[in-house]
Amino acid sequence: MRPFLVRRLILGGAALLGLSLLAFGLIRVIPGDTVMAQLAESGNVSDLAAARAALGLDRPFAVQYATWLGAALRGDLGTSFWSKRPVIEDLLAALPVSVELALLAMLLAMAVALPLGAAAAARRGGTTDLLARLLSFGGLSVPHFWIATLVLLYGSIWFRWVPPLGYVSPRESLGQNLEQFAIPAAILGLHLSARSLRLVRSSLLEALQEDYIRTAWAKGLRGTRVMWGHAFRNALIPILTLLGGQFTYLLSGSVILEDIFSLSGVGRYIVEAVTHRDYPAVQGAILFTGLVVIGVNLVVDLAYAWIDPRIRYQ
Amino acid sequence: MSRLVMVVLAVVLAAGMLAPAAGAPAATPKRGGTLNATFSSDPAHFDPHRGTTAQNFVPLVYNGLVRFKTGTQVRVDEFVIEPDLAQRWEVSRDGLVYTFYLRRGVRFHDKPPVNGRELTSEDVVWSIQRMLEETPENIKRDLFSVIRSAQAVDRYTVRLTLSEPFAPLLDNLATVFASIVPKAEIDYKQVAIGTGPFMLDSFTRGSRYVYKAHPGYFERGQPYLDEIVIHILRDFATRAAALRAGRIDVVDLLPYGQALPIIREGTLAWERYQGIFSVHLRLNASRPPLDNEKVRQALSLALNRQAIAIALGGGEGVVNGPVPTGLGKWALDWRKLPYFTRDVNKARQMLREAGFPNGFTIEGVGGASPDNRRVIMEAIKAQWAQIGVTFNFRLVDTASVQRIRFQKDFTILADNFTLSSDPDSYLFLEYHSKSSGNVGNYADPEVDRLLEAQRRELDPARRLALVHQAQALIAQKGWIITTGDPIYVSLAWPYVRGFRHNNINQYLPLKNVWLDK
Repeated sequence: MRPFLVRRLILGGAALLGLSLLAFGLIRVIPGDTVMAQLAESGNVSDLAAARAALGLDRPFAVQYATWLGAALRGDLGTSFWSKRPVIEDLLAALPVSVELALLAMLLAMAVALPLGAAAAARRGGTTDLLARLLSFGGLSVPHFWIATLVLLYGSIWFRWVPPLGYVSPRESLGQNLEQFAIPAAILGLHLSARSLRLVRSSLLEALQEDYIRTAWAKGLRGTRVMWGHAFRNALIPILTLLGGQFTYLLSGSVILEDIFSLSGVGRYIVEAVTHRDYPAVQGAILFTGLVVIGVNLVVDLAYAWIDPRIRYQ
Repeated sequence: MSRLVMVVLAVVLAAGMLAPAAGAPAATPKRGGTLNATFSSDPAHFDPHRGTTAQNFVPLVYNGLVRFKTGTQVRVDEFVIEPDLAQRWEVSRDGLVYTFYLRRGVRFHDKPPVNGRELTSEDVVWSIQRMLEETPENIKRDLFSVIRSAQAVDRYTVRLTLSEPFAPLLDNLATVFASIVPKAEIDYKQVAIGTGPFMLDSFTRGSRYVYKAHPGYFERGQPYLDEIVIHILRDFATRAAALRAGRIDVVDLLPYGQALPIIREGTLAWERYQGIFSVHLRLNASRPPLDNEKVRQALSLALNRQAIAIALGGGEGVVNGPVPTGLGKWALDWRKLPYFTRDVNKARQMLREAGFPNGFTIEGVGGASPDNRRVIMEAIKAQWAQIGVTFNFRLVDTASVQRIRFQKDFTILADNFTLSSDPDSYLFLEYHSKSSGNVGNYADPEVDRLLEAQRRELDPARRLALVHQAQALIAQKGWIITTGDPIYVSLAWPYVRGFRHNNINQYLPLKNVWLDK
């Protein structure tokens, strides 16, 4: 186990290093820079040079990168060019929004996908299966931001209601927090469940063909016991992989939904940082997201061994 | 509907748009309550002297020496200067010395390190020096650069000495960029401390900004509201839905076309007005074929500006000359401007005379956001095609537009003017051959002379004549293709009383607002 962990950590570190170099370079390659974005109406070109120097942008690329990396390794992601506040502070403020939205959406997705997927697999070709497949195709075909816009529009016209504005943490008011997240999480959850549903169904179908399932039936076990005790656990590995991917995607990938429901998460933070050419913020946020992706993947890999004792990491 | 009827309708509506809101008889304002308003993005900081993103978030917090009158009794296109922190002022006969007499007993917000102390002339001098600092972030310095010195004569008197007479000075001092801040080291990324009617109480970036009434505000009885919350809502559909659902009480600056479905529902009060944001195409006069005046004039002549303005507003708009129509008397009626009334045949003939019998292909560039650049360039592309000119344009993001502008790396650039109540910003900054804002390489001695003269002319009637004369000459040169402005509306729940939009200090009018519920 230990050699595996060490190897994964070294590989993860190398991946992060590559990612940081890419983020650092790419944001500097795109036309226009942070000084241009900030000095919207100033016309003095010597001023621009002074402004760049003040931000350290006049130094060679390698020096800038090494300085930033050195600080990042010590946990200092730098100060935003735009808000002039520590990047880590702004990121930590955006994180709870994204994490809550992602977790709630995944929870809802699983609450739909697991029972429905299992029912569809158990009665393959039946009405439930047909319904599940319809739902799955529908959910995949309709963009979630379209549904979100419709819900807001008709919610406001018919019921004169929209979710409360701005993020309220669950510690401040759990009720308001849930009122705020219920609709976006449900829409996102429905969208995700469409994806998960197909996987749950096909993984279970595959597991149900196995010899040990026949043995379980032969032992006279009840249907639910066969399904959840034997087939499900074995079908869980691809589902878990999907969940890990979904979580890391949702963490920074639900920008449009965040905009529509006025929630300021990590995705919105990255988009704004790119728009402002806020180099430290872009670099910090991408490094941070990379760290989460690598961390979650590692946890998922470790969970495989826990789910399936046959898997051993050497 | 025929085009003629549409045009007549647009003109009639445009004429009526500035009339004060019907109904709403004057009532005694009620105190208290929270007003929920919205804006589309965060400010980078609350420093009124350093940048434009703060400008919508700080007018409530600060005062200037003078200010624009706001409230339902002023028209949107009127910019009436009234005393603010200065009770009165005197201007020397040569127009070089301004003496401001401050109100006594004005108190700053009760926050450290200022802790509610009284405002003095020292604070004013400190603020003016900040406005004049030559740092790159001081992007509005041009508005005040004629001020040579600021001096505290006594505790309540400040004297400004100018390097030359400057007619726009008071208007410029009324902008948020001339806010008076306390003489103290303040971290403007976290706090805003002024003398204004509201105090910035707390904020969560990307979410909301909470303002509380300033109990020591110098205008007795104001403000009426206890609290204002400005919510950051980026998405238009979200703003509209939040307004309908009553989570937001007032939404300002909606293009009429977008607001129409909400207006038709009939539950909200609304008022129409004209903005002064005027998107335009800068032609680079040093690049062929645009270095040829005849070509520029032909391009101008080929345009149906009314159609473009209407397209911009999603149904309604007004045509702008060099000075936007929203500036009232300063604007010259576009029908009187040379090469502004469409004549396709003459435009074709002029191109032939200029040596382009088969037209030419030309490149344009503009910012992708807001969307109005695309709307304008698409309309112009279609209209130029009729005289054989192929207009290919691309859309880029804001930072790229800045680079293009500074490096003058364009043939045609869709851009916008600096917002101002005074025509000088629209004229001197853009067209004077020595101005830093002249990015299209425009140079003409007669234009320079007129632009310098109008700046120095302190007699309003004579200045007006110079401003009009300059506009006609600038239109003749065909340097910048001005288009128009959409008609905007503000929408509010009927219980929101006393609100009227102000084009310069957008949220300042909230100090007059009270809730009738």
